[in-house]
Amino acid sequence: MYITEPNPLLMADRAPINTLGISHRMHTLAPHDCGWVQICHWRENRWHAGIYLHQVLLKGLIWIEAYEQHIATGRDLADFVRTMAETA
Amino acid sequence: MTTNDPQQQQMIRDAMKSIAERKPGRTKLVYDKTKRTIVAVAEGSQVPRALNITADDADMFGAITLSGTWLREAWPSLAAGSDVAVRFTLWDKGDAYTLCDLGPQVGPITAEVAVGLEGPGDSDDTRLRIILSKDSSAAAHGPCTFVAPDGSTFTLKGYDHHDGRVVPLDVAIVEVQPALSERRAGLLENTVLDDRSIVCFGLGTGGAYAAIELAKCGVRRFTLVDPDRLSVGNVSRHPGGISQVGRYKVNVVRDAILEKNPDAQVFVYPIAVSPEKLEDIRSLIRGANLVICGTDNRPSKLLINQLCIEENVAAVYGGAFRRAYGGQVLRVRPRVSPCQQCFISAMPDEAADVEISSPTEADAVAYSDRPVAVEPGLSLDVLPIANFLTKLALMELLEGKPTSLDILRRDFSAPWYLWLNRPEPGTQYAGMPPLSDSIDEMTINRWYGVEFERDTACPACGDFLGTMAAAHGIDLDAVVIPSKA
Repeated sequence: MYITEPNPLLMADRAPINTLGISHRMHTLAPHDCGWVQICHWRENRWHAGIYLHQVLLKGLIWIEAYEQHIATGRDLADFVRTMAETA
Repeated sequence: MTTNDPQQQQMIRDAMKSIAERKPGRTKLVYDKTKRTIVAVAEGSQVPRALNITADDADMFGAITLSGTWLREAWPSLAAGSDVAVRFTLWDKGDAYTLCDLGPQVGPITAEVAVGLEGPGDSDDTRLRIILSKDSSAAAHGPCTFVAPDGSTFTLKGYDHHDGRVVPLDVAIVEVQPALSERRAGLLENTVLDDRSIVCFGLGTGGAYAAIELAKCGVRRFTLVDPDRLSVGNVSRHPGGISQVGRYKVNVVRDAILEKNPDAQVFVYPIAVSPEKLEDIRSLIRGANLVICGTDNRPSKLLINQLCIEENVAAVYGGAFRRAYGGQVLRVRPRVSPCQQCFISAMPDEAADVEISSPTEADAVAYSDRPVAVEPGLSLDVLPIANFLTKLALMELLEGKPTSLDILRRDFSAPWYLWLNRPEPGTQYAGMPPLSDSIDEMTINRWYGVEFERDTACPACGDFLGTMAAAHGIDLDAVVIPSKA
């Protein structure tokens, strides 16, 4: 799940998020070759067929909300979003 | 020999060679009752010279191991009077000679041995010889006796000619398969597993152990799949040793299987389980009696799970928890018992608790700003899990074949099994009572069979679509899926 606009997507300190790579602090996975930020939801090693697509989209919405808080406060995105738990 | 006296050594050799060749010699061995020892009596000597012969001295002859199968195959040439050359591994400076053809792994030093019938040619200077002497006496039996295809009986003796001396060697003729089956007799009949085939995905410590143990049980058809090579780091846990570092694990385990069951058929595939290889993997699973999954990542387990369900092949999955504080084994009978996907849905925490034994596994769950440490467990903590997995696999392979092990079926009725090596801090098992204090509470070093139900809406083995549609009031028959133009 990528954010295609804006590109580059900036952090509160104006640095591009895609420079972080796989980041726990900002809940991102490796960026796309063209620089799109990839939102982390379930890592490949945690993915399974019982995870519904709507849960992934939900994580996307939560990430955007947390990103807004990050921009407003400068705090890490991880301060607002828990790691996605193992799910049935 | 324990004696360091060269003269004594030579006297012993001369006497023993004379005895072995049934020829009169200048020196004879005699037991002296008064001295309670064996003495060598040299011809013409008035005073017997006492020799301090110990049990080690009695074992001074080297041993040659030859197979009855090889002898029968070579018999037409031998019967025609020809010597047949055959290669042996020399172990321990010539103390043991093992027919190279017995197994897949030849030792570092080999030598050619000439095998022939007793006759004028047997006194030539060939370094190593095995001579078949016709022996029609009633006493002709034992490990050095060979009954030829024409019914005649021979006694075999080996000779090592070197440094102007002839050192006799004992010959043992072995019949490999019957001898291998001897220690299984009564529990597993000789041929009960002959027609069973298994596919092993992942040949790390547990997978390799399971494959080799099943070969010892008599399984003869193996397909081994693993893309990794044996590293030095693997050696402290894996059956493969330091001298095999760099080899594909599938080849290391194939040779170990053939060392235990030389008649086994072993097919090796050094490939990864991945969606790109889906149909290749499916073709390996199709027709097998059982899949053993010892892979170290969820995507491969789920792919194998899906293919096993589609091909209706039972599977057993084994894995250690982090730092191998415990482990789990899951048996899947397609559409009968819970599958790997059902297990993840039912017990997500247990399914996610895995050992991180390599940098590759750590990288799969690490972040650049939150590294994951490699925390492997000890081999001795992994092996109980592998051992249970092997037992469960054996019971699956024996399904429908009555054996003495049938009494175990009641103990192996659960789909999932849990084992704990220690009360690991930070886990729900940290507060377990000591083993010696507990009878009916959960403790370390006990297996627990855990029942749980199949997920009828499981995306892998259940009616996922039907259940979803029913939950949302959708009539699937009315759904039109547009085809790609």
